Amino acid sequence: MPSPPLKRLLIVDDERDLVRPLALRLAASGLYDVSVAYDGAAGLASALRLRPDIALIDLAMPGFDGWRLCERLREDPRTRDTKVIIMTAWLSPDLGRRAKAEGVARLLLKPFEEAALLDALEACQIAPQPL
Amino acid sequence: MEQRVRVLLIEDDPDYTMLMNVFIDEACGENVKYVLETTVSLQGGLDLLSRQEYDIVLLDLMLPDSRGLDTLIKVRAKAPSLPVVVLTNLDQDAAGLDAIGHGAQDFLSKSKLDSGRLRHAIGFALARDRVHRQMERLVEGAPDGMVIVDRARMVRYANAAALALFGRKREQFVGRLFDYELTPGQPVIVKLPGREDEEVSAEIRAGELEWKGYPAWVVAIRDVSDLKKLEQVRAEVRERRHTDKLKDELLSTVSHELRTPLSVVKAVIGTLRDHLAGPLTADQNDMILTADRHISRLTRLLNNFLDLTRLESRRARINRQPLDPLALIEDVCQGVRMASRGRRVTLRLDLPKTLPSVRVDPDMIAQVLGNLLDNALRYARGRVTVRAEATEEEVEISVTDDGPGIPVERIGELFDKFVQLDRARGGEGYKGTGLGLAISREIMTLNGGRIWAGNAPSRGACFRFTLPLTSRTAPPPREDTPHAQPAA
Repeated sequence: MPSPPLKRLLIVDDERDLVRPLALRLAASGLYDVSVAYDGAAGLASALRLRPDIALIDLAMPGFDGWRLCERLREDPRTRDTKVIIMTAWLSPDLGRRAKAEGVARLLLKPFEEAALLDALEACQIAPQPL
Repeated sequence: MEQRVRVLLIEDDPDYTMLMNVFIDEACGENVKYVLETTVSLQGGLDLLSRQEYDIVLLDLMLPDSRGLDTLIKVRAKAPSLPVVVLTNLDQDAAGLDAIGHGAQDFLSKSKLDSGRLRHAIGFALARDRVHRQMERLVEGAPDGMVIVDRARMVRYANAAALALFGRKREQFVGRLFDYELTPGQPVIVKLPGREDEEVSAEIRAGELEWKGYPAWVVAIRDVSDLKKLEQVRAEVRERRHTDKLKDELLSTVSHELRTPLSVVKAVIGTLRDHLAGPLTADQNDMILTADRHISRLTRLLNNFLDLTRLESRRARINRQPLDPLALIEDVCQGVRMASRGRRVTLRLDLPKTLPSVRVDPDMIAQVLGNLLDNALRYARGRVTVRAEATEEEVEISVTDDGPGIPVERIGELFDKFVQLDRARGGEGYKGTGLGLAISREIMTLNGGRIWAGNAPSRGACFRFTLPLTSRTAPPPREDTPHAQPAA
């Protein structure tokens, strides 16, 4: 039986030490074709080229931050349908509201359990609606 | 009704005294009767003034035993409140005006005197004296302190309020040096040492005026201690707000700075634990599991610490809404059951069929019940029971375990921060943060409920908390922001 096609997944986080184990885990699951980028601009370039199904994006990145990346992904027809999961260590009061406004599918507060990550990824593939 | 005016004439010229007797008699009318007494020297006058009462003094300044203004000053010193009309010789208007500057009510030129002028002068002096006294009473009774200070900075007059403010008697104050800065138009705040118990903050304002013919200061003194205290409290509140803001910012930053490396360590350990980076020996596996548990503990501690800080600073967003307590209890218990699968503890629900609606923040109350169940499952031998019942005002929920119970002497400190009781059967490698009950108590306070602990009659610990009924609470002000609850 042929295996289902891999989902294209892009991780964008300036914290390389976090990107590596995440990429390792997700690639090892056999479900994702994982690409990585270490800042917002590189993330946007990769996203426009690869058209990922899911983007796992950190918020606080120097210069081109996660929110800006979200906006640009929404604006471009090539990435408009990419599901976005935000990972952040900043728990700000308006986080939920803003995420909703930006059409973010899920929020992950760092540090998060693997189960929470897998849960979020699964939700992106099942639920067509954002938050 | 007839008015009787007692006049003392101090005059050494016998001819003039006789003339004055005549004028006085003529001056008497239907309504006013003047009674004249005379003496020929200052000393005689002073003696009479100390023995008898008069309404007015007619005073010749040139007497055998005293000459000039000095005569007036001595009479005024003897009888400060008695009006004095000075008798002057021809063309001595300047001397007469000078006398008025020193407290005389009026002056009369001897050469122009007749009964009409005399009557007029006496009446005028008495009337002026009445007005003068009224003004004095006004100043004396003013609620602010009023002080007259001469150019040599000596206090010449002080009203009752001033004496009270400085805490001195009149004789300890009037005639002494006024040792405070005086700048017209520029109020200064000074500390008055006056009262025994506390310092008085007073505002001193100075104005210029002429006092008895000489330039002087009129000084108004107002007690501003209360105002000062208010200002101080305001400043403290501002400072406190500023500190709270800094604290929040600091916490937010620290939290972010801690979360980032924590997330890296957690992800790396997870990779090793799940053998994604290659197989592990049994010992390595064991070590990694230990590290993983402690990373989780550190994360809980950080989250609890932030929760508690936010709750204590009353900055937590609270979203109270009508809620079915049964649904909440069942939800939380189901989650706990799933998490504690494989443990030999049974979670039993002993609930009525229905419970009235309560008005609380659902996430917060779920956290409280979760905390209590978590504790109970750690200490229970075999069973944890959740009960609920409604009274007229609230729903009371209890969580009881069958563990060793709480040492009675430590029940009081249970809800303090970082308190962990070493109850005999703590659980299997899991360590609490010592903040769960402190958080629960803050949450209950915010939600209008109570929480307390005791021991069950059989054995084990029993924690209870109450939720206010929707029907007993006023609807809260509308929340304009939704409750942000990121997946964590």
